[in-house]
Amino acid sequence: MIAVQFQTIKQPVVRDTRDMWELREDLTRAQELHSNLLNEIYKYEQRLTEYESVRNDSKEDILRDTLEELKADAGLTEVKGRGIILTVERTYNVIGAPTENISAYLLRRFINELNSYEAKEISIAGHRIINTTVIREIQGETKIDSYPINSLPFEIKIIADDPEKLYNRINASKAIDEFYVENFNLRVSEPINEVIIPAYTDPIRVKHMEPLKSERGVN
Amino acid sequence: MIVVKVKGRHVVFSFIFLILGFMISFSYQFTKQDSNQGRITDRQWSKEYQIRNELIEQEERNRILQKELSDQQAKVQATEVELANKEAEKIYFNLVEDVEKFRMYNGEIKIQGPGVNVTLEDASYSPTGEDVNNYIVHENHIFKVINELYISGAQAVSVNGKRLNKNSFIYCNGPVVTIDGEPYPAPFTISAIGDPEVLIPALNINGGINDQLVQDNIVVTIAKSDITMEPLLQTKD
Repeated sequence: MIAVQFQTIKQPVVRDTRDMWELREDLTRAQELHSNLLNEIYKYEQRLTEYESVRNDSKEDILRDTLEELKADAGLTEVKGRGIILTVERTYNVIGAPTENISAYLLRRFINELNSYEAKEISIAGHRIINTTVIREIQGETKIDSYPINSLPFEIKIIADDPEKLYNRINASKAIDEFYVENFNLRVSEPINEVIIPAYTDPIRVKHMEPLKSERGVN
Repeated sequence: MIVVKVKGRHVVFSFIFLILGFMISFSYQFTKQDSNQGRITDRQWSKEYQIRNELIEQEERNRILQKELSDQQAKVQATEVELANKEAEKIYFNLVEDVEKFRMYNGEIKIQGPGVNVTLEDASYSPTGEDVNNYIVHENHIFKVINELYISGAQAVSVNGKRLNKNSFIYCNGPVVTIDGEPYPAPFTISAIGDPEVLIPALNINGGINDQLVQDNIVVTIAKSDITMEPLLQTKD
């Protein structure tokens, strides 16, 4: 009896309960991160060798290049690339009062969805989406970074690495229905070879934050 | 006719044999069970073991790479700062400052600054018979908070330590919320770097975000704090 009791008490051994699928998923994620990290390291290494090899007077140029690159990443330059253009227009064939404004909530959710479909750059009605972009309803007007979207139809431009995939995923998603419910028609263009997305026009102000360097060995 | 007298010896023997028999059957049962289980899952187990090893190796490699990256970044930054100081020309100084600024903005390096922490927790009280969904945090709650923080001048926002950028996406996936494909459990801490004197009143105005969340039965905690934020590429702990 003691032996039986001992066995039963020993039973619940703490196990790693992740099963095969979870493990595989974690592995692919880790591998993705791996390649991203490698790319990033490569970028910085290149920059470093440039700094070291180039003569003093042209170091300024490298600095300028770096800045330009960073600005491009932040969204301060016009970008061209393969992508698709969506047109949002009003529909008239539905009973009920046509909505005056497209709701901010709908747009925000749509951007979220586009991002999950691996969109790289997005602009809505000519306004570039950047890190700190806000879409909000203010006094009944929907505004993107304080610019109102008044005129319908307007265009949503997207650049992606794989526009065909993006195109298919948008068409398969509920997005079109969601726009339709609010009396808007979402027209999706075929993948286009050159989509031009405008730059963010306002200056980006960086305040309140500073780089943290001291404990770089820790992470 | 042989009469066997029950002696003290016999009683002792019967006890001993009883226990012995029990022990033998128990150990037989035990070993049988063990070997059976082992045979069924042997291959699966070795496969799992292999994958797990791979994952661990990969994670270790990532960790090393991450360190290498931050070393590399530090070197580049040091070179740039040196450049700025040595030349003593104002244009260099400004350039280096701008470069640093955008690295922070784009989430390439670790940053710190004053800001607020907003914690969203599922309601601890859920009356029976009602839909439990009415009492938990959904993606649109998180959206609302993030949006409100940005509009009040937040410079950088992270959710449970995951820095957000323009390509981030958030999904409510059952019990967890998925941010950029990685699952995060409740409670959700949304951190924002910005002026806390602006951010906190903006969240707290009458009928503002705080009131709206409380209306949805969510436990909201808003606290001013100093915030450090990891870069976008980070190994998950």
